[in-house]
Amino acid sequence: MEKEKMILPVDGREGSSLSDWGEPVKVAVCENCDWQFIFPETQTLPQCPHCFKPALVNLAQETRDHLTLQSPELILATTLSSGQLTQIFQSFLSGFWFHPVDLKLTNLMNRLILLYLPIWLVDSSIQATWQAEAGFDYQILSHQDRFDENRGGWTSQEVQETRVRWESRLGRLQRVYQNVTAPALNEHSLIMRQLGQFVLTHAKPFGKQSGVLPGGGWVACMPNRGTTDAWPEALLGFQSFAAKECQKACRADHLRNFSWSPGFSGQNWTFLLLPVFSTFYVDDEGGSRPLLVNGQSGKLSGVRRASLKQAQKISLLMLGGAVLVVLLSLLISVAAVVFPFLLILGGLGIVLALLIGLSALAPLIIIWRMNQKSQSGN
Amino acid sequence: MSAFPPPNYLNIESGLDGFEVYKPAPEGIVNQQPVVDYSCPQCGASIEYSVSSGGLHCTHCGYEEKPKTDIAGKNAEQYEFTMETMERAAIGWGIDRLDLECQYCGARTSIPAEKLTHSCAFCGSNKVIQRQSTQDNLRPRFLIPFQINENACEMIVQRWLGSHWMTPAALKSLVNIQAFSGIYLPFWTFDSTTSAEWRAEIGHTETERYYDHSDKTWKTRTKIDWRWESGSAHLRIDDLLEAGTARVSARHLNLVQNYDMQGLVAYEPGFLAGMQAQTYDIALEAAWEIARQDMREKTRQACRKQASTSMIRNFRMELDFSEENWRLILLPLFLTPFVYGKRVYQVLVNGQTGAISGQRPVNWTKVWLVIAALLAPGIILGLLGLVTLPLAGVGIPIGGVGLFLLIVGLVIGFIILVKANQLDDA
Repeated sequence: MEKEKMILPVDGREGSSLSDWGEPVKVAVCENCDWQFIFPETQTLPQCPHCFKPALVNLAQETRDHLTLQSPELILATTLSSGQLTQIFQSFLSGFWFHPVDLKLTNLMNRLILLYLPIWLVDSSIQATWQAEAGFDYQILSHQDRFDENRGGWTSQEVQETRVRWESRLGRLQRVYQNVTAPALNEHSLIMRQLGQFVLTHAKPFGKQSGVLPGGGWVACMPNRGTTDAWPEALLGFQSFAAKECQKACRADHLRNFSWSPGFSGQNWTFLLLPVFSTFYVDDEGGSRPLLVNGQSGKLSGVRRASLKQAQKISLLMLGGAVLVVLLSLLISVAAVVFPFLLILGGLGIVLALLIGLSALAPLIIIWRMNQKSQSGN
Repeated sequence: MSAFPPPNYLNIESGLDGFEVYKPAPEGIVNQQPVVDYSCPQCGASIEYSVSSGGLHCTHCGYEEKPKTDIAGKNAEQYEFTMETMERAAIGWGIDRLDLECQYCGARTSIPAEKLTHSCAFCGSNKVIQRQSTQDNLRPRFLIPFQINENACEMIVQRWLGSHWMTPAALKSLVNIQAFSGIYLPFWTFDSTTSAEWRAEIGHTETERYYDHSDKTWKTRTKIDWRWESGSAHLRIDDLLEAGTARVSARHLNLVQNYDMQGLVAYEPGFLAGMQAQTYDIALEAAWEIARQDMREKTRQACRKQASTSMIRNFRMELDFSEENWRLILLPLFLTPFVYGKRVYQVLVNGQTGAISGQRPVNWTKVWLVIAALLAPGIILGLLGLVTLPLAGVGIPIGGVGLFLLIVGLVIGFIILVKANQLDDA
């Protein structure tokens, strides 16, 4: 990962310059979810790319001046083509019965926005004392025996088991850790859980000089979590790095109960943008259902909500058919007064109507189950 | 972490630059000395462990010193069957010899490695050798100290030798307190949990009535109905003792093996001062094999007990051993060899509980006299019956009684002979 180092105070970012974005940009804030967005002046944004509510308000120049709107140092370019995105949405839609009217491939593709999500990367020198329990694998010899009086008694078999021997270790470390991630959005952990991890080593410096700028239609989301707020998570990241390295230093197979007393110096915070494709569909109740696609791995996250209205329509049609069969059967039964053999046909008709009537419940049950499953999956 | 590194921590090689790694120092490195010299701090004479005082005693000036006693009991540390241990145990520990230099007279002595203690043959000073083994846990780490002294042992042996009428009367006088030799023998203890699943056909006897056409009558007969049964058994086997030496009769050793493991104390060289001790000559793997056979047989019996009747066939079981542990301990024993006639007999006395077993000579003259005395009434009455037979049949009842007594005498005589043989061959 190439990047330009900037020594920054932990509690905030330096300056704010909209000219660094490479082209004239607008700033908008969503009154519903409070996310701030920066996007090209030539672009229109009818609704929030996060919550998809038409609650975006463009900020006036004087308000902008109070915000931290500096351009990022690094950006992770998307690797997904339009064809790949089409395939991703097609597989999302495949095998999906009773989908809402609005949930169509064309709608999803037309509403697609390349949304850049912010994340902090932190570098720091660390001096610490630490202690932990180091686990070392070792082999145990055990036995499994069998007795069969028809096969001459006992047979014995050696079995090897792997166990862990835990030993106390402590020490000192003096290391420089780079690119420890820290959330720049309050919703960071939820979004990352849904979209999976990004390979940050592919990040490139952002700016005119390096030629890496968001191309085409794009929207960049601004951090709603400053470096001070992000520090506790960064600290956990540093601890996790240190624990992994302690395991290597101890030449141990496992490590547990790691604790340390660190001292930090030379901290450097870097603002990175992660590519995400955002789109949405409208469900039966008129609510917007967002779909997010990891711009690097193509992992899609979103609720696949089936249309209860469509299921109700099918059920009603089936019930109507059942009623029709009942009426026909009754007519045949009346005719049986003259032709008794028709009574069997009438009876069969009633049974058939009953079966169709019961089957009419199936679409409703299937849809209810699908929506429940989809909800719990997200 | 105020002072860094804390005391008793050793710096070890780090696998990564920028890291210092410390680990706790092994206890052995801090405390162990290769040779401990047990001499009296008052007069300089050799001191020995005394059972009666329960400590080190100087026979010259009376100085006494209690050894450090950490009672470990059944919680004494145990070890797992690691591959490393098994490989090390297979190589053995008792094949080397040690070259020692006496701290007093400077004499060089070569002693077999199975001896943990040594008295200098030239000046008599007692030294306890703390052997440096690459696998430290293959040294005995716990022992049960002697609870019975030589005087008590003498009484036990004398009582035991005089307790059987078949033994010679002079036997008690042959026992000499000087001949009692207290020795620590190596024993392996094994723990394991056995989990077994079994399946077998179990026979159930049923009585049924049937009509016999030949007799034209109803009769009853018993038949066995075989039904499949299955079950599972889980046994926790704790401190199963297996001798670590083959130099003492296993049969007699088993008879005196009622040691109370609650008496286990941490190994302290002072307990061995002036005593003999042996290292194992039955390796861990061989002892574990014997113990496993014992454990699986116990588990098999537990499974068979679960069957609804004792008629069992096609018995099959699968057994898993888990939580297997072992330890090497030293247990106290008095070995009392004595010569009678041209044979050497050996008596074993448990140094903790006083249980006794061993070989005793048989006074065959006494045995044959008793058998003769048992047969005599029958023979005499039989002969008397024969003599009095012509006198109006008076001899018939006398001869009958004589024959009965002869048969009884023969049966009892045979039993005595068998027992005497067993005693002599023991």
